[in-house]
Amino acid sequence: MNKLKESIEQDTVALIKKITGFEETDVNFQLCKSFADSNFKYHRYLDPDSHKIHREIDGLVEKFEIHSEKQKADDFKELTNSFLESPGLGGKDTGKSDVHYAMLTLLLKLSNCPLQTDYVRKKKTLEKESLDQFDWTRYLLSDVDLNFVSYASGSSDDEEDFEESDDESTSNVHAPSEGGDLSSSAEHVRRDQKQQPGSQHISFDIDHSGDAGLLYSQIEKAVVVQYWRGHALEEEVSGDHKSCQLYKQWHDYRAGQCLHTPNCLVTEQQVIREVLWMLNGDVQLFILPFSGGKFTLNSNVYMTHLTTECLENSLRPLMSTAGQVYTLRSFVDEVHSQVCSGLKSGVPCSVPQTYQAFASWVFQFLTDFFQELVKIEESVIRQESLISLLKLSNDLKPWLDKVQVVHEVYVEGICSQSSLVGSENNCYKASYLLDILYQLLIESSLISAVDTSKKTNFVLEMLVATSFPLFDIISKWINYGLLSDPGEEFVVRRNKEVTSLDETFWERAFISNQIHPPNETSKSELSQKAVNLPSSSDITSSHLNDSIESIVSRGPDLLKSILADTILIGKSMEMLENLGRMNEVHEVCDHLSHLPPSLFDLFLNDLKSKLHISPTEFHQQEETKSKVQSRRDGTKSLLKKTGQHDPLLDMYFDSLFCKTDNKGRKPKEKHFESSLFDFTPVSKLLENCLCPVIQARYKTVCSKLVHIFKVDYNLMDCIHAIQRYFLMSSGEVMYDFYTSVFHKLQHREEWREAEILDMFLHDAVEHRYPEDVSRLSVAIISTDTTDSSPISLTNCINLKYNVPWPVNVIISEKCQEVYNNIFNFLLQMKRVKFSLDQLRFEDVSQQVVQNQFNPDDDVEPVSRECKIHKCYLFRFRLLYFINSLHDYIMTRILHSSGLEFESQLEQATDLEQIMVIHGNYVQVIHERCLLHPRLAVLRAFIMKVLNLSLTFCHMWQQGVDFISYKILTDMEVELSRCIHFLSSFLNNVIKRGSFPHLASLAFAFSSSIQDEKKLIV
Amino acid sequence: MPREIITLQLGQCGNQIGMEFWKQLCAEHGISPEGILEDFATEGLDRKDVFFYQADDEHYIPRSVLLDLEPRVINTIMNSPYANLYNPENVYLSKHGGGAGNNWASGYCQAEKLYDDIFDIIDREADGSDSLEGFVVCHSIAGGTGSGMGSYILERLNDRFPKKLIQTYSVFPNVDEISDVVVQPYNSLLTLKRLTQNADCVVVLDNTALNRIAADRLHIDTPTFAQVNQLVSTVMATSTTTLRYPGYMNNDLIGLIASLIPTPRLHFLMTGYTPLTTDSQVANVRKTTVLDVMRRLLQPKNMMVSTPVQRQGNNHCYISILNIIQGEVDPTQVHKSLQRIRERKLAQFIPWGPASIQVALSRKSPYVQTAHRVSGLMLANHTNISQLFDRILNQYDKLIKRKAFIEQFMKEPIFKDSLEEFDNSRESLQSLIDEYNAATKPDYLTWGIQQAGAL
Repeated sequence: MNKLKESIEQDTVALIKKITGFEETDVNFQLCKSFADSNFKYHRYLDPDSHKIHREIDGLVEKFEIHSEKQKADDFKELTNSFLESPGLGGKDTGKSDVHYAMLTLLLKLSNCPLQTDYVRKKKTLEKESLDQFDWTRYLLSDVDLNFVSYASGSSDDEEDFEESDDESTSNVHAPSEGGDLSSSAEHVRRDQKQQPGSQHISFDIDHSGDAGLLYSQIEKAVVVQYWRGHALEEEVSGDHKSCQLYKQWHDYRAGQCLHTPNCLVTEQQVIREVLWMLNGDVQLFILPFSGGKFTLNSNVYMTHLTTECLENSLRPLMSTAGQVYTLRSFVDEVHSQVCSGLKSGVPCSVPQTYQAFASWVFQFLTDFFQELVKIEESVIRQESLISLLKLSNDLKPWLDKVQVVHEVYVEGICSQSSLVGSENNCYKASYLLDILYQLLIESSLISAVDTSKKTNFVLEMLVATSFPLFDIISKWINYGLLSDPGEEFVVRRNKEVTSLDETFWERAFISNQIHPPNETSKSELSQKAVNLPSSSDITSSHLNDSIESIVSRGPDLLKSILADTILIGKSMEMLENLGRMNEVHEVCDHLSHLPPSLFDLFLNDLKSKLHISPTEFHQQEETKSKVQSRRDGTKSLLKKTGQHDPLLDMYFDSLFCKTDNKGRKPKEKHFESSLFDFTPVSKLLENCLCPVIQARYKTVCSKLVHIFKVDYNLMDCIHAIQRYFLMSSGEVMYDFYTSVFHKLQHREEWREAEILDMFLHDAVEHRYPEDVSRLSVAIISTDTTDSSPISLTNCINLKYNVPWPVNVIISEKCQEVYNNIFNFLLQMKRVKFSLDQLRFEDVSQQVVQNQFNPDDDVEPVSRECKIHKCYLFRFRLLYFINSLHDYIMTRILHSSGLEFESQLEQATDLEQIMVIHGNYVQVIHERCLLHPRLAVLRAFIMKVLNLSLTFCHMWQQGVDFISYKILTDMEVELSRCIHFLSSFLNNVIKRGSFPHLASLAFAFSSSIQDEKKLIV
Repeated sequence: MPREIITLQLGQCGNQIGMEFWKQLCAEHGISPEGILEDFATEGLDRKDVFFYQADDEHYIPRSVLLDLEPRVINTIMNSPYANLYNPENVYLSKHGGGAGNNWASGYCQAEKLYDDIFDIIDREADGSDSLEGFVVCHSIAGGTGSGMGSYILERLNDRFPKKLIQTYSVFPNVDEISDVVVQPYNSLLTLKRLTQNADCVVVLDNTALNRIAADRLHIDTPTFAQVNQLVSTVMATSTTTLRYPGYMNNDLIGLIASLIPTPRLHFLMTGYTPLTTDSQVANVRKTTVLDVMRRLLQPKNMMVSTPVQRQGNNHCYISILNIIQGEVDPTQVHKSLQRIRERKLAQFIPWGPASIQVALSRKSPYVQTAHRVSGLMLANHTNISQLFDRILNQYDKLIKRKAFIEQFMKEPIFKDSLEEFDNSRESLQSLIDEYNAATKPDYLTWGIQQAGAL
């Protein structure tokens, strides 16, 4: 040890002096010396790892080969091998000692850029010798024992020499080990070195000295050659690789021919970075200038290894994508700015929430995309891996596809329709966008089996996110009865003109937000006219149905399956609210949480379970958590920004991201899922997810409403009352009324006063149904004065039943009008029947004979006897006719229709159905009471008979002597004619099968005809 | 404003069937024998006020007048649980209580003397009603009180209430028991004249047929009065059911009757009822569809008039039919059945007019349990009823030929001077029979001319 100590003593002193510049007397010097000593004595350096070194050598060899420097590689291999084989180092006879490796390591470490060196064979042999014989062996032999001495001690001079002799230009220790020529910073450094040949020393030194050097290198890194000013020089850029020169050579060749030459040189690195920026949506780019919504390639730019065409070709998809990104971005910005301005000004913004949701989603998507881009850019800057344009576009391929899809949706769903008819209509906009998405989803699901890109999931995700506002609206509507739709994008909206207590509430409270395409509007108007034209009292229910159907048919496809029910539930909810019974449909969820589960939530849960994503799989995805978290947080903050803070929505996004990540990460599961899509059409799947949720709510709300209507608001009682008064179902009440009127009529007393009729009616009613007295009233309406036939006398009686709210939603004024028509017809029939019933046999014969009439023993003129008998029989025939008609109307039609109606009513599950059923009922009885315009001919003939009957009754009352035989015969003929006509008409109708219920009436008529025939024969 | 109907129960038979009728009505309306509404019946939709009125103490009191010349039956009623049901002022018993002795003339003349008393009661009842529809008279035509007093009251009712409807439920004597009251033919003939001229509608209840039905259909060997009367009360109750249970159809008596009667005199109606049960009988194992019921109603064996309805040879036929179907029935079914019946020509109809089958649907009383889902009553105007009159006429002719028992009639004032009344009655009945026979022929349309020409 002493010897060693001594031997290095001098060297140590020299080293310290050299490095620090302290004098031996200095206190610091002593400190340094003791530090160096202790280091020499006690510090151990690890032995070099032979395997590592071998690998490194191999790597270098390979690298040389790759760079088409086979010669260099061979030489290097040979030299290192021979060096390692050579004995004598470290005092050992064999090669490959630790010392060998240590030496080699040192050398390798020092020669960081072997590729940069211009290595020539001549030198090579020299070097080989020098490596082998002179430098290393000699130097190391002298320090036999110091095999652990660090490079620091030995490197200083010799190494420098070696380096300098070996490589002219390198020795840049700081340059990145690989791909140095691609890195702009490295270029820069190299350029600096070139420009200032002496700088190597400085940089070397400064580097060792700390802060200042660091700062400098940072600046170096930050400074980029100003290629955009054409400052880049070919020599600096062109690599040593032969292939890198290909274009240059070609170009040089072409240059000789004086063609236009791009004068701005760029490197691939620069292009890549610009591409990344471009994709980021940056528009102020040099290589890829942005103009007219498109990115183009700057024609002034050229690369050394690619032709402009080739570059352009490879950049084209990226450029188009970038254009799309730009469009999307500006869309998002636009939407956000509009929303923000809307928020500021307090005016509800005109952008549909669906657009907002879509924009948020696009924003989120773009954020993800940009993050990805940033990642790539980072790695580009780091230069740790090779990134070429080709690799870049391959890496970005899935993203590009996604952008493509999103852009497609944007263009088709938003841009394209902005020029169409309903461009100002948010509802139309929203449903159009959803439709496009839905279509896309279906299309992509159809090809999902062969499509490896996860387009289906992607689109599904997009659809789900975009449809959120509508779901939210629906959810609020059906759960709370609030239709909060500031953007008016839902298919219906609350009609402010209709108050809650209006009887037309159900029909008119919610009107379509949709804009009818012009032709459709006219069509529906026409059809409505067609309904209106024949009878002023159109049947409301059919119209109602039409409108709901058309609303549904124009609604978004996604919601089509549930829209009708949704509208029903919504209306029912409002109805319940107006009835103050809202709490009853809430009670179920009240004790679980304050909120009923949102529709969207339920939908998603269902969707997830349908897609077989079990919760356990979530746990396998722990690694993705952080990423998910960031996306989720981003979304949440976005939502907060837009003022939509909703815990449920948060939950949704939590689950959604877990889900999508699952999909992306697990190929096996993805496969499973796509196979699922194969078997179940995605439309069906969505429907399956949506319908049960809506159905469940439907059941709760609508059945509750129906129950309330039936039980608390006595729907059935009202209907029965209507039947009682208008249809005379419970004969005696109305009987009392109309007989009083008929008596007045018979005695030709004044009856056409509302007060009298009111009195009659109330007298009739109050005995049995005192509660209805206040609701019933009679009005005299002016009727058609041209119709002077006696039968139409009673037409002016207009019955009115005040149906209490809310039942009047079902039994509306319009319905009552129809009921009134039927009532008038029944009244006519009853009047004839009553008049005929009241005919007493004595009356017809009384005038002359005066109570002593006895046909048996009186010798009366033949004509008189005959006339009386004829009158009897004519009365009998008329009675038969009116009874058949009466029978038919009262039992076959009113009674049985009423029974059908009630059984249907029992089964009705919602108010809408009740209304439709009631509407149909009214329509059916109206039609079957022969009041339908199509049966006008029939009706005319029946009226003729009724008139005939009344005339006959009048004559009968006056007595037989006032009836001329001829008139009587004429009447008989007339009656026969009418019956004949009716019979054949009805039989024809029955043969056609259009009115099966008429069969019995037809039969009754025809049976009386048969008898006539018998008579004629 | 109910269309009130006042019931007059005359004589032994009239009071007996009347009592059964009121029992039935009370049961159907849920009214206790004391006239108090049962608890279970307070919510009914039925119309009690056609046949009952409510006293101040909420008691339901029948609009019924009980008249008899002897106290036996009325005393039975007054000792029955239903004693408190009736208005005691409406029960009139002849003071001497001797009865009419199966003598029409006696009954007629006693009624004449009691005119004021009787019509005090009737007038009071009529005044007590808002809009009186008419009278229903229950009586037999064979005895003395029912026939004689009935005849007199019919004549007077017609005078006093010319616009009111008079319907009678007239029990015709049992042919097998002709020996009981030998003067039956006299009584019947004389009553029939009034029934023809003064009643608007006569529901013929043939005791012969009723007994036959009781024996054949109900398998009762010797039917008691009560059992037979129950049949009668069933018919009566059912025929008024459309008046008592409001529905879409007939709400007044006149509406029921008017379509059945083509000419003034052809107003004798037969009845048929199915399915027939008595209390003792357990539920039948028949199915009762509407068609079944309507078809069975047309079968002669269910007719309550003992004439062969569809005997070959003579051309007797239906003039008109009214079926009252009770129970939960779908009207569509009814009309289908009706069509079926017409198509199959199950019933022979008059050749000169429409085949008038009318159907009235009515509810069943919810308080009376019946084994049958559907039951039906037929009121038919059939020309064959003339055979019943023919039989009476023959028997009368036989009696009058020998002037048998004529002296009993001669005692009474009406026959004091002459027996012209007999001849008048006979002529009246004969012309009735002739008209019924004429109605079977197509030329009935011109019947009046022929009649006049013949004379």
